Amino acid sequence: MVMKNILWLSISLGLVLSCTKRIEIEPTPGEEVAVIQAFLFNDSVAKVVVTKNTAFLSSTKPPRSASAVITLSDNVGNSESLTYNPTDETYYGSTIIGVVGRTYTLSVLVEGKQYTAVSVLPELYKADSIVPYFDPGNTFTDEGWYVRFYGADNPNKSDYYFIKGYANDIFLNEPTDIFVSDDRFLSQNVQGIDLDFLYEPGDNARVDFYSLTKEAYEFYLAAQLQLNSDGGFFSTPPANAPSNFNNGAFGLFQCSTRKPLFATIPN
Amino acid sequence: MKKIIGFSILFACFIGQVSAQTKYKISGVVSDTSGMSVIGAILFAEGTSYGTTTDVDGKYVLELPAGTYTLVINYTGFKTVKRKIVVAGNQTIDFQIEPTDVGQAVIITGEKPNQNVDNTSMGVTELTIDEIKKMPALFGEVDILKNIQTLPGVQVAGEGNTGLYVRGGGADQNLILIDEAPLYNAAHLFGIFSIFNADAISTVELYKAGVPSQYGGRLSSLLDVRTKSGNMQKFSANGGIGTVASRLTLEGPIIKDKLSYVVSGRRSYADLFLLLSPDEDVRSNKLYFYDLNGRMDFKLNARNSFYVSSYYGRDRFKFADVFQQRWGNATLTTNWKHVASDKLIINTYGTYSNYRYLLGINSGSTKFDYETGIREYALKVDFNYLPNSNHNIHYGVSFAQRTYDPGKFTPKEEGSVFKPIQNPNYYSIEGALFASNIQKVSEKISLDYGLRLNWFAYMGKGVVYSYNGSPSTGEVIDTTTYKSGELIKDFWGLEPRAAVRYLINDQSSVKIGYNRNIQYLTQISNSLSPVPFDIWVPASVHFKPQISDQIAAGYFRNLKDNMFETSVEVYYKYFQNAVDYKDNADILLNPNIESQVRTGIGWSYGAEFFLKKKKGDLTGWVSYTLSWSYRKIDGINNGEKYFAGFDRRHNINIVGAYKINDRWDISANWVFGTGRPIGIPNSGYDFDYFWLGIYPERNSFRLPSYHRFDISATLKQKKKIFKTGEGSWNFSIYNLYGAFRINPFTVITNTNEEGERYFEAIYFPAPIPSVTYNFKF
Repeated sequence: MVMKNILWLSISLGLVLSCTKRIEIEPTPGEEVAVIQAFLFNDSVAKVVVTKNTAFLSSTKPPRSASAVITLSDNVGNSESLTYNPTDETYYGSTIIGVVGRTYTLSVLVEGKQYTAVSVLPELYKADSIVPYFDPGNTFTDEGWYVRFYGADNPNKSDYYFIKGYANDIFLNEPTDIFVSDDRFLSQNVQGIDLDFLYEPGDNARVDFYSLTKEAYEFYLAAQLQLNSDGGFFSTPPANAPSNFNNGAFGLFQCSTRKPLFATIPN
Repeated sequence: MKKIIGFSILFACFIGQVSAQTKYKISGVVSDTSGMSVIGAILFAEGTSYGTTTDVDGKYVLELPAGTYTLVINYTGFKTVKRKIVVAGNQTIDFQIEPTDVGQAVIITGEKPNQNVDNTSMGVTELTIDEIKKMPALFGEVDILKNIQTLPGVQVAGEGNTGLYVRGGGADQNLILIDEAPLYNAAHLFGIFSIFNADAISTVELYKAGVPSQYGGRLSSLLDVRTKSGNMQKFSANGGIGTVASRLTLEGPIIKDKLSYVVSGRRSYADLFLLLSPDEDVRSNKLYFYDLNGRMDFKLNARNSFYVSSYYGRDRFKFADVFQQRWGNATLTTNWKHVASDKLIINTYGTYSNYRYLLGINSGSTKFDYETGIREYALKVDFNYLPNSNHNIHYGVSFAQRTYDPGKFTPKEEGSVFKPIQNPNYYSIEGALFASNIQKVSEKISLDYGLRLNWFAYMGKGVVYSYNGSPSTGEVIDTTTYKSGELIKDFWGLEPRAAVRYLINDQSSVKIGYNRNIQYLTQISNSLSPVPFDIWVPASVHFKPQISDQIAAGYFRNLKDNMFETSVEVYYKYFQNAVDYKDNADILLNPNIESQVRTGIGWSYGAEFFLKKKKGDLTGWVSYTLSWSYRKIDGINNGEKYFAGFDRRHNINIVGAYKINDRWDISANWVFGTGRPIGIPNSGYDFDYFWLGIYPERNSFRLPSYHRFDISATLKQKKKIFKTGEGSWNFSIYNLYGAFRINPFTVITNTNEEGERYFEAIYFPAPIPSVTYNFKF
């Protein structure tokens, strides 16, 4: 959320005097839990990765499970099992593509435990276009090309958004860049909101807009707070990102309308 | 001193005989040569057991049988005054006392040599401004809140932070008063400095327990800061030029012996160096704070005096034209002191306090202003009735009206991508009746008891949300709108406070006390260290008043003719309706703020050891605090108990000042504290393109312990300024060995370019040397 980021920035300026130094801490490892990354969009079949947690500082990703039994069903009677693709260690659906307004249930059986998440697939109200602009730079932004978003927010309900940026199909979000927003501060007509993706002249700019449910928004917002926290001194204390799976699994079953917007950066 | 011992021991033998005689009342005021009342001066009739001390207004009452006496007035730092009097009836005699060493700073808080043993108060610590000014200071800025933090029972959030965490209480649980006007944010620069300019302050008292019944509204402490009154006799100026800020104070009579003024200002100037930059953008940046204090005192006659004092301070950050931030307090105090009779003094206070925060963004498509604040008007009448030397009675009434601004968000241009959000203000009124008495039951036993009755009303205009179950569900099912002035919800509260002191001998005593405090407003702050945009909310339908009960006991012993003061105090404190926030709480401009808050209980307990050397070339103190602070709140940490974020097991402070000769003073302090508990992840997982931590119980990891050593030296200038003025240089180094050992105030997680994750400590750079030049004439 823009406002939070700005307030956070103002505090960082207050901390301008502070220094940082790498320190060695080895926290006692926590107990093992299942982690499920599951996505269903309006333009593709379901995609699920099943893993576990690992030591926080571990540089290798935790192993991905190949033995899970995963089923996806919707509220109009469709159901399917997902199949495992060993190449990218990911489970894929085959026929069900997300439909706005339907409610989906994902069940994952792994190592004898069943985890279930339910999510509606929310509408993306109006994402019209992105338009390039040149920012000469100031205290807070680097000089260069950026894009502005034009669209509208549905005034009759609460909406939640998530975005990812690409330049020539190269993903731009840093691992701490969680661009997520609710619509509390947004006017109905969003006529030109600056997005924080830096482009080179001539780039093919692409920004993917996702609609989120409230639960998915809370997950991403918690991730954003956690990844940009100061340990809770001035900022919100870091805490777990709430999962919509039951039975203690971490992760998220995200159902979204996805809309890519394109622009060409002038030379 | 011997007289006092005699007074103590012999009084019991004389009591029957004395009470049979007719006694007359000798009363008056003791003041210094500048006309300021002297607090705690000792008066006694030489060769007898009759004696007393002056009260906070410099007033004394001594009852003597008819006869001829030599009255002796003793006060540390002042020449002893002896005067022959003939007692044949009630009479008023005022005394003026002179400093022993003319030109030396007046010692501002005075006390009986064995005050700590003799009085009934526990958990009260006074620091003199002189003591404070001698100590090493961060960036050379003398800061009373940082000195308060070196006292037993006071915890610190982190380096360079002025927040006070007293006996397990949160940072919003301290009633911070400047001349009776409350301050809702006493920090500059996010807490690196406090708003108190030491040059404008006369006394500072911290009550960790046994807050007098005339004060209420916060659970954990009272910090009573009084500004100084102007010299009624002659003009003087003092000030200092420091590393980060400079100060100037002017004072003097407008009408000699009748009307005086003090004006005091301080401004930081780090940003002035920015003007040297060739870059225009950099030159247009602003980063400073300032304080202005002003006070006028008027003595109408012996029975009526008045003062008006005011504080105004602001922090200001401005970066180019795209970002600006301002915040600060404004306060105003008016006081009328009326001596109705020689037994009754009436103090009437009218106070005003206004805290504002403003953020302005003027960049690209995101142009907006964001404002929050709180404003209070209050009136208090305090009757101090002294029927005889065995009773010191306070009673009175107070009233306060507050307006809480929880935030206004205003887009600054037509067609903005933002919409305005204006959370409606909250309103409250509060009334209190109070009465207390310090009663000398016998020479051994003194009692201090009081009662405070509060009425707090949450008033319209306002909106109250009804939830499907508790507010934590966040599901609003109904809203009720209240008109302006309509009562929405009110609370009654009774706060008993009692203490007993048993004097073992004039050098040692035992004290036990109990007190209850009720707090009707909460600072919504979901971080350890309050930030300037944290809002205050009143007790309401969904916010119950917070209550604390504290019992404390102490043993006080002075050694070597009061050269050393020692004490041991133990306490247990229990909090009801303690507030904390759910994980990832969203508290910003949230109209349903109650849905983010969880309430439960808290408790803290500990022991505090204190040794102070008050006299001689070497002075200072050692304090050690052993303490625990817990919270247990449904919906947080699975309802299990957890450590409060400022819990520290051990705290040690060693503070010393040594007078080498007439020109050189040196001082040093060493501070140690167990690391505070924070949350760090004990495992992690990847999700899409980022990596998240899994956090175990709340505040389950301890930061490394904190310690540092500071030194300072003060050199008095030989040459006089304007013939009589004095100058001195203060050189100080904060955290002398900080280059070799860091004190993280927080730990974050980070990832380097190779994708390797690690923990990173954030800490203050050290050592920090500074030079300050102080002057007065």
